[in-house]
Amino acid sequence: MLALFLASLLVPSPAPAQGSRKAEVRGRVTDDAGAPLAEARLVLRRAADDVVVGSTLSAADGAFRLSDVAPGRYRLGVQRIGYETRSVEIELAPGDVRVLDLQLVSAPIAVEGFVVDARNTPRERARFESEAGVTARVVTAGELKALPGLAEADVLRAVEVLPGVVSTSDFSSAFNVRGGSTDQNLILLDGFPIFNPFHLGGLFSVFNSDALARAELLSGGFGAEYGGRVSSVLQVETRDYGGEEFGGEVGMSLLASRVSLHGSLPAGAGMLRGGWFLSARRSYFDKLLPPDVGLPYHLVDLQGGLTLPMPGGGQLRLTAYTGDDVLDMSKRDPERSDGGEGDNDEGEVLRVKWGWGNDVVGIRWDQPLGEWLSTVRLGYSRYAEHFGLVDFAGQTYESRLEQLSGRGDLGREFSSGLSLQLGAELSRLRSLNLAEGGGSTFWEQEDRGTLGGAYAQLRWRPTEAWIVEPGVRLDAWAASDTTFLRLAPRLAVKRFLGAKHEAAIKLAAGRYTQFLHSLRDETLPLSNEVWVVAGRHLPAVTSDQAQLGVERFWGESWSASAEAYLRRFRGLVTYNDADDLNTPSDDYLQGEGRSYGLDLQVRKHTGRWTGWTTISLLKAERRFPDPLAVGWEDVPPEITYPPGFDRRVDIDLVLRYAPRPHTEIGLRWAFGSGLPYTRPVAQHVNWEYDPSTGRHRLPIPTGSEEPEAPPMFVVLGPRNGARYPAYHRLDLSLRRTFQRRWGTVTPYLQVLNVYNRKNPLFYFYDYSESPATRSGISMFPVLPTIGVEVTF
Amino acid sequence: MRTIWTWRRAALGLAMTGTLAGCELAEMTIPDGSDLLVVESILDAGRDEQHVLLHHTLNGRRIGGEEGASVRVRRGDGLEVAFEPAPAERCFSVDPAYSAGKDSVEVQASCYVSPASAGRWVVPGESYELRIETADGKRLHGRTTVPGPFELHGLSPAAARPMGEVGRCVLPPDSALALHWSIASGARAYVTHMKIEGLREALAGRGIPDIPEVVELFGASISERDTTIVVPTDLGVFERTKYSRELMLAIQDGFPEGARVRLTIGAMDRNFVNAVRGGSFHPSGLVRISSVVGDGVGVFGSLVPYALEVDVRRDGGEPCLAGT
Repeated sequence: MLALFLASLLVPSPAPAQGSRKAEVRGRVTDDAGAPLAEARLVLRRAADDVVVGSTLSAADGAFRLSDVAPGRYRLGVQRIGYETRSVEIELAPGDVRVLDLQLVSAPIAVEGFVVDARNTPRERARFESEAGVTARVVTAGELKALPGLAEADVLRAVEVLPGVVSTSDFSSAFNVRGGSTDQNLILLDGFPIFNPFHLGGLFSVFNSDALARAELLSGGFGAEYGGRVSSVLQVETRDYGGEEFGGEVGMSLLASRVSLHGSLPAGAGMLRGGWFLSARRSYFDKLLPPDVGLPYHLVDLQGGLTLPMPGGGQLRLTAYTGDDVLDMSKRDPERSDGGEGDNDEGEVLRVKWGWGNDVVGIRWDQPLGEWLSTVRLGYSRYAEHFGLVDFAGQTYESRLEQLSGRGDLGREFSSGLSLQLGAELSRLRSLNLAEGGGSTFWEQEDRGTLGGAYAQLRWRPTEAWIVEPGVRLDAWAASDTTFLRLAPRLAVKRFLGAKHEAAIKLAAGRYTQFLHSLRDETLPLSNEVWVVAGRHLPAVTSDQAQLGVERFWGESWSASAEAYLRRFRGLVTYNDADDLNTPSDDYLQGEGRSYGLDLQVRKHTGRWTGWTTISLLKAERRFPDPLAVGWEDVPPEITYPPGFDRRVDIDLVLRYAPRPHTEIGLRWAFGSGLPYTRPVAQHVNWEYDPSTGRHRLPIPTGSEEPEAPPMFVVLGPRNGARYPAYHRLDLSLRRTFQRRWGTVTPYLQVLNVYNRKNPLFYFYDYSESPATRSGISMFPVLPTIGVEVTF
Repeated sequence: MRTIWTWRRAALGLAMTGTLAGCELAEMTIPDGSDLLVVESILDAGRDEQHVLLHHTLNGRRIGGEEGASVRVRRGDGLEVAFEPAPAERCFSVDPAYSAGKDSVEVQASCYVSPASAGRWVVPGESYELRIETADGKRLHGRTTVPGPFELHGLSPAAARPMGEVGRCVLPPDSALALHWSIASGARAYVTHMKIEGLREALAGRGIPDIPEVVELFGASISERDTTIVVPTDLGVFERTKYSRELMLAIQDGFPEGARVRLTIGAMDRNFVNAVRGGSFHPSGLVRISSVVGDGVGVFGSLVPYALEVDVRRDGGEPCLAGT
């Protein structure tokens, strides 16, 4: 509330409209059926010299407003994905309030997939023209489909090719942004957090691409309205089906089958039509292969949404998602033997039942209140995991994180040069981690707390060439055993350059905080998040960040950007492998980190081929105390090392090419300098201490007729002191759309790692042979997959 | 529809096979690993003779030793014990199976033991410092604080013997033995080690194949205050994949008649616990948390043990628990 109060002092009272000699343009954007179109981009240019004097996005009810406009002749352009661009010329006299009804015509289906997405990325351009600090990268639904993926389009895989983003493994769609950890990314589904949005330990994301409109990654400089994570915000948005006729999409890939249906709701009196959608996906590993041969694993996603227009131009939107991963070996014959080399003599399997999944449900209500636009959100997010042995009761692992949250935002544009956004949120979080077995509790961590936050974000455009965005956020986290209070000021400044303001230089700095940690071991290629909340023994993360960048657009076709950043992280945590089991205070090590780098991007938005190339340079570092050094004078008390995602050079090339209508070729080439790993320097046998004899011994594994090599330990060199070879990979996709009277059929072919580059995932060192050897496991080999999508 | 199903099954199988087969990296030779000295030493408060085992990191299948080293352990009160070289069997045993075949190992580890004149010099609650200096000047240091003493509660007089002696008792078949004990100050955890003999005969006729002559199971009690364990139900958490499922289920709630069980319950210090539980994941193998510093790695830990031998039969003999 302090932030709200401070903001109220900062905001000057708006001048009465009647007293102004400036003009105003307002109105509504609708489609050819009369339904409102949200997020259409409106750009007002001076007719004389084409200089942009204002821009905005239409609201949920299609309404827009451009105020404080000097009298004169203008051209107002309006764009939205899937619709023809429209431009109207207007002349404004002093004090005019021009009301326009702008109806857009749908683009012909024949060019869907190419021309539709060639209309630029409206939001990215709109942010460039109207916002100062945030670094926003958008991947549209069309780009998402064209990007070669593993079996099917995956939004988190698409994020990997954006500047500043590092992915450490083909097997995981978890990602790191500008030196931050994976748990420092806030991933929002329609504005509601989703904690572990991965299937199969990270191999696929939970998002069904058919239902998505776009993904927007805010990789730095995000405003005070975002709290809770320090590294990035990924906003995944589902499509708005308001006013659309009944239809659907069906997709089949080697991974899963999916179906998505949508339609409109009857319109109330004087109201616009609402819409709904429902999508489902299920994998079929377990159905295609018998339980004793294949993997008795399946994933299920179920997602739905509802959009309801409200009186007074408001909109109510419901989002719901539930998804599960299930590995159920309970139906497997415990005595089965394949007779393969890998089986032990009994050919038995340890039958496990393992499930995990996310649930999200949220409701969002956007409502104009006079000059203000209010947004209220209520949501519940949960991630839960459970592991147990079918044959042995009492051995379980359980992990859970729940968040119940409410949030309110108020925004007002006092003039075309001044707007204010205020908001507050309140969340209740609960985390639980429990590991039991053999009558002992190996790990029990349960905490809950309340998170309160308030912010004020001002956008001030003193002249056409400058945007200044001061903001402040106050977060309070009350855990069961302690309380944190963090003030996070943020400031961004942008200066437009050139006669048409198509270039800009921008500077942003701020403090970011978070009260959640994931203890996931980032060296594992596949694993789930293990969430814990800040408390007496766990710090809050605080990150101070600064970034300086330049951006340039060349008309509608090309854009380029370069951005340097510096980040410092405090309050990082990791497991203490040598903790004292008697005290919870040393379960985790508290450390620091820093990163700096440069992100470059060149992007082509229109034409027969579109795409982008990015070059990301990064240096990241982590520093943690060494608990084993305590009491030894000649052992350094801290260990400094590059984290596993410290990829110094990352280059991505993404291209879409449409050689003719209905056909689309996608290409992605990725290059990354080698990631760090800890190299074993030696190996020694594992002498076991036998308490019954008081002597050491070399045990023989039971059940083997031939003695196997004795169990061994590896001795590690400096942490992450070695690096794997450079990573590179070329992926291709080909999509062909066949038009039918009832819809379209699009078969596709995707080939990952076309030239079969052997990118190492792990090395295995074996010093027990002479000479010593190194073998390993690579990431994806060349991997062709096929699938088909049907729309009706 | 049937054709599509078959096609998808074939394509999925092909993709999975191709993916798995295509992920192996070619093996290549690399320079030998570093030659490091490794220490193995657990001070056992239940014994007079203590030992320090010195060996080297592997050079092929040869486990090198370290002859001529100076090995000393100093107690917190100033008592210093100089260890003496001793025959290998005083420190360790190696199954003969390791002496032949393609996986044989040549063991040349060196054994050092405390002199008999030192008596019972490792006592619960005391601190000890290990200092090793090799003939070529390498030095290793380690420290341990032996956990404090503890007592097993509720045992019959025959079963409850002082530390260093072995209690003996009889347990009815198919029944569990619930043990609890007092807190050992400074213990990081308690280990319960169980050697079961006679299972092959006791379970004959139940159709359980390949029952080993000796079955060894471990149980862990985490933290100083976790002082209960149910035998055998709570043991075997770490051996689920080592023995057959039928065997583990057959002894999950009790031992069969005729089985003989040697139980050791020990309070472990920090270093012993760290060595047993291991460090972070590494694809090349297990990582052990070293508790020595200097020119090598290894373990210098301590244990306070109590031992109990249990005969499983219906009648006769002293029961394990008092009043039963």
